[in-house]
Formats: sequence, C-alpha cells, structure tokens
Amino acid sequence: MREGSIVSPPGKVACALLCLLFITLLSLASQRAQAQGQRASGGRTAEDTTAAGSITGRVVGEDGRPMGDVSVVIHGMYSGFASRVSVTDSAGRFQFKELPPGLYGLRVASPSFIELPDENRTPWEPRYLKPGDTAQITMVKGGVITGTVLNAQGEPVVGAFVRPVRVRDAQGRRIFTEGLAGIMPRITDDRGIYRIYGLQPGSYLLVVGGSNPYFFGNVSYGDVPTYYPSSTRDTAAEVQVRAGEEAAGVDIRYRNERGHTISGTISGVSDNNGRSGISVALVRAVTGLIEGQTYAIDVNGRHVFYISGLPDGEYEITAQAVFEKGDAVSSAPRSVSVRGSDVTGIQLELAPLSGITGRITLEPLKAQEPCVQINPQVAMQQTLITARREEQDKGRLQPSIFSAGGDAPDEQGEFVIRNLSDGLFRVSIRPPGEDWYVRAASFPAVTPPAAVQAGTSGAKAAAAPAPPPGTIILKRGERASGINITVAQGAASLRGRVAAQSEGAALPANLRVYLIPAERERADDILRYAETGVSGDGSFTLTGLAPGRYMAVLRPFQPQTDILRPPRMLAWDEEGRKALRREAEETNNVLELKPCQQLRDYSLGYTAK
Amino acid sequence: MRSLARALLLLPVLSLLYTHAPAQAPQRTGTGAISGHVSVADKPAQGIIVIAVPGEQGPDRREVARAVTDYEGNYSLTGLPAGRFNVVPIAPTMVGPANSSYGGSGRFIILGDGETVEKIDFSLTQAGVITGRVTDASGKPVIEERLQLVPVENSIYIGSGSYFNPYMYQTDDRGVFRLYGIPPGRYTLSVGVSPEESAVTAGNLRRSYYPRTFYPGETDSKKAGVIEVTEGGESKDINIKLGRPSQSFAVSGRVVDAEGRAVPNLLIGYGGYDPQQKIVTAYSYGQHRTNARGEFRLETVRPGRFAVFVWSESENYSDPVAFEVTDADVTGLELKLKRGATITGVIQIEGITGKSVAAKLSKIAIGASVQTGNLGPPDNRQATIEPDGSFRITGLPSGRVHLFMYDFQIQKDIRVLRLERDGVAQPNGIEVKPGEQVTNVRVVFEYGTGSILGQVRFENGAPPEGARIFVSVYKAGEDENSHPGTYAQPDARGRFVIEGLVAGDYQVIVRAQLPLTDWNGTLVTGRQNVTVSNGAVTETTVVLDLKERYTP
Repeated sequence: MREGSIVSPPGKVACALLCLLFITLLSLASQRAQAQGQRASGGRTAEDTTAAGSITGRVVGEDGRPMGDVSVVIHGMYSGFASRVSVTDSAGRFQFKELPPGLYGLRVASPSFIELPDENRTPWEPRYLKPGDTAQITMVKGGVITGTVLNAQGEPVVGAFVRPVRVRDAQGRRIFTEGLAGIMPRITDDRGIYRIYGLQPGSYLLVVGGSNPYFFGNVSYGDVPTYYPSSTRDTAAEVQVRAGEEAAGVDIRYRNERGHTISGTISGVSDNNGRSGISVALVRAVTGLIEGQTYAIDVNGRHVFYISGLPDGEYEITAQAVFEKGDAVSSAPRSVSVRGSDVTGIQLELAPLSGITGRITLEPLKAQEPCVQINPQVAMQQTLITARREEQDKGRLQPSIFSAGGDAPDEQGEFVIRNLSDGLFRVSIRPPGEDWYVRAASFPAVTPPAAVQAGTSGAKAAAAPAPPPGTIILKRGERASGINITVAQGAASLRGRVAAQSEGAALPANLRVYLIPAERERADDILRYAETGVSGDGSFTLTGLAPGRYMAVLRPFQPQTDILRPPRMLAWDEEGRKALRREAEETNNVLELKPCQQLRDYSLGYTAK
Repeated sequence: MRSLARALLLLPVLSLLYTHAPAQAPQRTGTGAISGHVSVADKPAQGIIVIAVPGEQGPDRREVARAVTDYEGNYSLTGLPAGRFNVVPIAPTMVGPANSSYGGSGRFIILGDGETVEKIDFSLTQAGVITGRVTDASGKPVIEERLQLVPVENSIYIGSGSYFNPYMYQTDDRGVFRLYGIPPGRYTLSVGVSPEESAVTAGNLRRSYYPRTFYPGETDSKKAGVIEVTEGGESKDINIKLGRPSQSFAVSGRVVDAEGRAVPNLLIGYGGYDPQQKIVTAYSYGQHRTNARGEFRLETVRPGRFAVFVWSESENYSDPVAFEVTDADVTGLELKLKRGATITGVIQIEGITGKSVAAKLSKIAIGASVQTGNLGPPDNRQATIEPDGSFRITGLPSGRVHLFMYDFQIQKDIRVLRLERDGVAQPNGIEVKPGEQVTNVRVVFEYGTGSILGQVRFENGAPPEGARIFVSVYKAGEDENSHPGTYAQPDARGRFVIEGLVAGDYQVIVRAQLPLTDWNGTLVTGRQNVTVSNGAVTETTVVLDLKERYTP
C-alpha cells in the first residue's frame, strides 16, 4: 500500500507496510464479524443479550492428562455471533463466558494433534453446544504421511508443494472432500523430503504441483499436478493413515508436465466499489472436486482471471464474490473442456443468488411433565433452519458452493437463508430440544404444503409438477418467501429394543426402525415419519416425535458404503413411503404417543424375510 | 492452532497482494529475449531452471517464460513481451549474491519491445544445511516452534532458501527442523521469545511460551553456540534443549464514558508500547470487546510494555493506557471514552474530469494520522470516498492531522498535491482541537501522464556485486529529506521507468548503497534535472561517480 502523505510524519513510513499489513489482516476478520453481526432481520448485534451463559470444557490427551495451550474457537451456528478464541490452561480447561443464548460450534487445534472423532456423532453433524453446556474433548496425535519427491532423473525436487486430499474416512467410505481449503500443503526440503502431520485418519491422495496461487517460484507453479505414485488423478493411488501412525516411503515421481490455462473475464459485479475480491473456482465436472482456485485481477476496470496447471479434461468454472454485508453473488457454473491447448475468453457473469425467507412459530407448553419448561426466547434462539440442495451433486465427491445454508431465526421467528444457488432445496428444522417437533410447515403456493394439504394430496397443482413435500424450488436471484413453520413442544420419545423372533437368532446389521403415521390420509405427511438405526445390542431411541398414532416398521437399511454424505430419510421419496406402508400393514405394530410421553421398553420383534 | 492461524493469515495476505494489481497486466508473448549464464562455484551449471516472472507486485505472478541452462550453463528466455520482469534461477539449495533490491536472487529487467538483453549472469555457490531437534525439559519434542537464525557476521544475507520454503524455520511434529539454502558462514540459532519481541507479538494465542533459548540451550545470548555452515556442508545435531516454559498473564480493565458509565460492546486494541518514542508499535484488534459491564480481558499477554486502547469504530475513541506486565496479571485498567473530532471535506483531482474521477475515487480511501504530542491511539482512521468526492473521518484525537491516500490498487497516476482548509493550503497538516468538527477541507490530488525513462551510469568503475541502487524523483523545489518522493526500481542494467508524472520540472536522485564488506557501506549519489510533459516519455541519464567511494 502506498502512502502518499502530504508531509510524511517522522518514522511512519518504515512501519507503514508492516502496520498496514497487520491492520488489514485483522480488519478483514473484523469486517466479516461485523457483517455477520448486522443481520438482515434488523440490526441485532451479537453481544447485547442480557441472558448470557458460559460454555466450558476440558481438553485431555489420549492418556487422560490435561492438554494446555490448545486453541479453542467457538462460533455461532448461523447466528450473528462472531467467533471467539480461547486457549486451554495447564489443567486443559477453557471457558467462554457471557454467551448470548443460541447454538454454538466448537473447534480445537493443537499442532500435530486431532480431535478424537466422536463415535456418537456422524461426520456431517456438527457439535451443537448451548450456554450451560460442558464439552469434554480428547485429542490424539494425527497421522503422518512422509516421502520423497523425485524427478524423472531420480533427483530430489526441492521446494515442491505436496498437498493431501482426504478421500475416504477411517471406515473406507468416500467422503465429501475439503478441496484446496483443507490442510495446508507442505514443502519438500533440499533432499526432496516432505512430511505432512496432524492428519485425520482415512485415505489420502498426495498431489504435487498444479495451480498454486500461494507462492511463485516454486517448481509446481503452472505444472500439471502429479498424483502419488506418479499418475494423473484417475489412476492415483490412495494412502491410508491411522491416527498416531506414520505412512512412510510415500515417494512421488514428479512428471513435470506443463499444463494449460483457462482464462477469461467476469462481468456483472454489482458492488460498485469493486473492492470485494472475486474468486474463481474450477472443479472437475465428474467429481465436483476443486482443482483450481484463483482471484480475479483488475485490468483497466475489467475483472480478468487465469487458472494454470490444468491437464486435459472437462471442467466447470464458477466465479463468486461476497460483499461486506455478507451477501454473495455468483456466476452460473460454466462448462469448459481443455483439450491440448489453453482456453481463453471464458465469460462469467455474476448475478445475485437465491434465498429463502419465512417465519418460525413456536408453541411452547406450560408446565407439562416431563416436557421441560423453557424460556420461549431462548427456545427460538436454539432453533435452526437449514436448506440443502437435493437433486444436484449426484455422484459428486464435493458439494458445490451455495448448495446449503441456514439461519437462526430472530426473536420474532423470522429467518433469511441467504446465498443459495438455484434448484430444489429441502428445508429442515432443528427444534430447540428433544421434546419439540415440527407440527406444520407451509410452503409458498406453488408448493403443496407438506402437512396441511396432506388430506387433499390428490388435488395436484395443474401446471408444473409440484416439488416433493418439504422442498422448495429456487429460481436464480429470487428470494422465496412465505414459508411458515410451526414448531411445537410436546414431542414424545420412544425407547425400545429389537428382539429376534426366533430364540437366539442374530439380528442383521444395519437394521433400522421406522415410524409412519397410522392414518392412511396422513401417508404423505413427512413430518409424521421418523427413523433411526438399531444399535448392536438391539436398542434404539427416537425423540422429537409428533404425538399421534404410528405404525413401526423394522427393515434392514442399505448403508452408504461408497459416498458418505448427509443421510436422506426414506420417507422423503414417495417410493420409500409406499414401501414402508406396505410393510407396516403386514406387521401392524401400532402404537400411540401422547404429548410429552416418554415411552420406554418398547419391544419390536424382528422376523427375517 | 498455529497451522490454522497460518492458514487464516495466508489468505488475507494473498488478497492483499491481489488488491495491488498493477493497472495493466503484462502481455504474455512478444519477441523480446533475455539470456545469460549460470555458474555454480565458478563452473558452468547445467540443468538449472531460469524463469521470468512479472517484475512488479501484482496478482498475476505466473511465469512468463522458462528456460533450462545447457551444458555450458547458458540459458535464453525468448518470446517475451515488453515489460518488467524478474529473472530468477530456481536453485533453492544454492546462494547467489543478493543483487536485487527485493533481496531475492533474481534480477530485475525492464525490457523494451522486441529487445534482446544479454549477459544476465548468475554466479551461485552451494549453500549449507543446519538440522537438529528441539526438546523440552522432559526431553519431549517441541512442535511448531519458530527458529531464528542470525549470522554472526552481519554481511550475510539469508535469501533464497527461506523464499522457497517459508515453513522451514519451524520444528515439525518430532521437534525436528532442517534449514537449507543457508549461505556459508557462522550463525547463532534460537527458539522462543526474546524480551524485545514479546512486546510486538500482541495477539498471540499461547498461555505458555519459551524464553529465547540459543543452541545448545542457553538463554544468555553471550553464551550462544556458534554454528559453522560450509559450502555444500550439513551441520547436524544442532539440538536445542529448552528449560521450563514461562507463563503469560491476563490483563483486564474497563471502559467508561465522560460520566463514568460503563460502555459495552467496544472493540479493544492493544500493542507494544515504546516509552521513549511514546508510540504504540505493532498492535492488534478484533478479538476483544467490552462486555455489558464495559469490561475487557486480554489473555496470553507476555511480559513487556504495552498499551491498550479503544479501537475507534465511530465518533468515539480513547487515549491508550500504557501498562507493563512483569510477573502477575494486570487488573483495573480504565480507558476513558472520548468524543473524537471529525473532519469532513472533498477530494479533488486536478487534471481529469467526469466519470474518470469517480472511477479513481472508488479505488482509493483517505486516511488520517494524528500527531498528538502525547501517547495517541494508532492511526486507524480511514474513510471511503463517496462518488461525489466527499469524505468524513470521525473519532480523531486532538492534534496535528495529516491526511494521506490509501490505494486499494496501486494508482500510479494520482498523488496528493496539497491539503486545504477553507481554501487555504495547510502544508503542515490541520490542527484539530478536542471534539472539533472540522469542515470545508479539500484534499487536492494531481493526475499525470508524463513519464521518465532513465539510465543509471557509473563513472570511474563499476559497482560491486551486492550494490543496492535506489531511484527517487522529486518535484523541483521539494525537499528530499521531508518528502517521500516517487520511487522507482532500477533494473539489472540500471534502467528505470517512472510513470504517472504531472508535467513540470523534476529532480531524479539515484543513490547507490555499496556493500559493507568491500566498500564500507558508502552511499554514492547522483542527481539529474528532468522536464516532464504530459503524455510523453522523457529520457535521461543519471551519472554516479564512484570516485566518491574513497571519501574517508
């Protein structure tokens, strides 16, 4: 930054660069926090709530001994709360005081350590904490991958970036990968040796080279990425690593092939000061994995981008920018194929994204045991609404950007889910507690409401086919409004056990319990469906159930062995609902759940078919 | 966390670079060429990659051309467009003379259209390696601890190795480090925090820290072990044994307004404090806000002198309160919130009109720095400029205010000409009283399209390797000691270009800093008067007479 002062204040110029850098770094962070603080629903700031509590916790090592100096970051779940950082003391303790009501996420970090994965939490499910909660966290040494990068002549490649891409979890399931934003690349030393530590257990691809905007001058710049052992992505070998273990000898023979460049211009920037950085992401069309990222450059007022180091292939390229207030714009994904030469003149046009607005109404119960009485304001702040795109991303290993979002409703229950792409989105609610359930959800007119119109499901809209219940179709740049969701207290729970019908017979793995509404006219009311997995000992738990009459069904569930992604309920698809009803009517396990009832020791017999 | 923090830090750094896009991205192809020779230990070096990259800070750092030295050590970069390039041999395990003003091992070339530049030679030597392990008092590895390598002889410049691997100056998960590309010489190596350093690392995230400890395990710098690095050699087992870590402390206090009432939700900044100069040195903010009772608490503050202050986000500010952390928590600090002064005014750019003015204004902001006479808050006041040229800066302490330009992208063609208040020029800034509302301020910028193409010529000898040459241009009559002037980077041949000058008379001053060892650090200066016209290139030659170096 050039400082063109009128009269240079003494001693200022020398410090100017460093100080400015420092300020800029911090001010970026703070701007973001402020932007999040100023919510669309009306100026509510993060810290002005009086009813505040603490989230405390303790971090220990594998041996149970406390870990000091662990960084702990807390952030609001879709709320205006800017993140806060704390550091554990010598007893491993941390504390975040005076937190406004709401839901929080927590991350811990200590070099070369990872958080021991919580067996009870699925990978896509964040840890939700609320004021008053205590978190007990165990950290273990992460995995290590090390090896040497050599060129075709067998000489070490010095200063090469080696980047790990996690592709499977510890159970071998394919996962949504983190793209370039995951672990920082490590750099080979004078012997060509790299060492990547602090890795989550799972399987990794090791990548050298490729588009690398981080540092120039390094060998990798502009070269086609080489995958371990010496291949393209399609034939890359995976390296498996466990926590605390080291995969050594992962040597990579660097191919040193020049790649091609995709370049073009970006138009339609609505932020008139042009200061928001426009980033451009390039994904492999088949996998959806990010293969390159860059920022647009201002050339005489035009926004220009280049992404280098690309092998031949089919790609999808998208530009996006996030403005100060937190609203984003993006271009429609543009298909580009690279075949033996550079591709120039790609034009991307930024346009506003879609969104969803609506209102959540809470219906608390007054003193009805065993439902827990809760301050309605607090209950509202501990409710979340999320939207996730349904039909896209099939077969992809990485969800596209803007395909999911959420919000924490304000005091009046109003919510705005911003920055969504177009497409079919499923709307989900996380009620404020186990004794709450979604009683009704009405969607805008084009969408037959899931619950309310269940009785008239025959009366389909005349024109376009209606989206499935619980979903909404978003058009580009439009903000869908008029979603009204009623979340009521008085949910019931069901705890029980599955017993094999014939004495001593083993239960199949992956057995699941499904509840469907007993009333036939409720067949399409997805709010009345529930499902859960059966533990190894045959026990199961279902909470947050709408009161009413149900039929219980037991059936083996085809687990996702390939791609690990957020689960879909069987009842979300019409076929699934029909199949469940067929089976339910055969076994006819009918039960009735009263408001707030906690039904225990429910026994379900399983007969193998 | 430090790797996370680093990741977080890196991205803004990148975006910062990107905001410094040159007005014009370089063309990618042309008919120019740059050639030369690479030797290692005075023998021709085969197979060394030499690249040409854009020679200016900017987002497009893609290499423009690449060549590999042949068996005679020769390389030739061809197909180059006119432009500015850095020519860099990729040799991270070798050292070359630090002959670019950037400190890297590259050479800067301003290439004309279709021009061929020869004899851009690089003489490299094999560098050395230092490797070892850092352990704590119980023998356990110390992970991701930063290392500091300091040459015993201050003529050594540690260059390219760290450039290629910015992470090598820290231990890995085994406590192991390996520093390579180190110029032969004698060094000391330390980890941990030095007393001087603790004051400027505000915002660190560790409760415990190691006091600076030199190899092999000495906190006293006089007892530091000296490490000998030889050409192509490896200094092994340079192990550092640390003692017990020290603890940082917590600092707390509150913010009150003029009536003594607590003020919630204010952003708190803090940083090192230099009691001699009465300034807040490096500082940070953004992590701490006052709570409902106006209280703030800073964790993990290491011993040292600091100042804490309200980071002004509105009309209010506080003077910094200095404190010292020695061996206990600091409590009860009280910051007094004051209503700051406000400056409103307009920006005017002389030389352009209409839409181009608004386009320019969108790329800059106006900043204010205040000389308060006492310990003042850091100069964080900045205001964006409305399309009509108006601006408003709030939360200013009283004192002498200077306004300056922030450019989000380098704006070569505009610069601040003068500051006016009520139509009267204010060459020494504006004196602002406490809480004063200063209006009718005008900041006049000038816009220029003239340029100087210059050549530095040495007489009575050639400058030695490692000489650093600085070019500045001043308007006729400007005092070079108090005015920053406009800088230009001369290329390896002594050629330089200065753009965006308003028509008028200028003085070009070239200073050559000769290396300490050979030349005793002599500064040789040459001056040349130049007349610039708008839209035209004026060529000039500046002569430096090296006879001056013999001045005792």
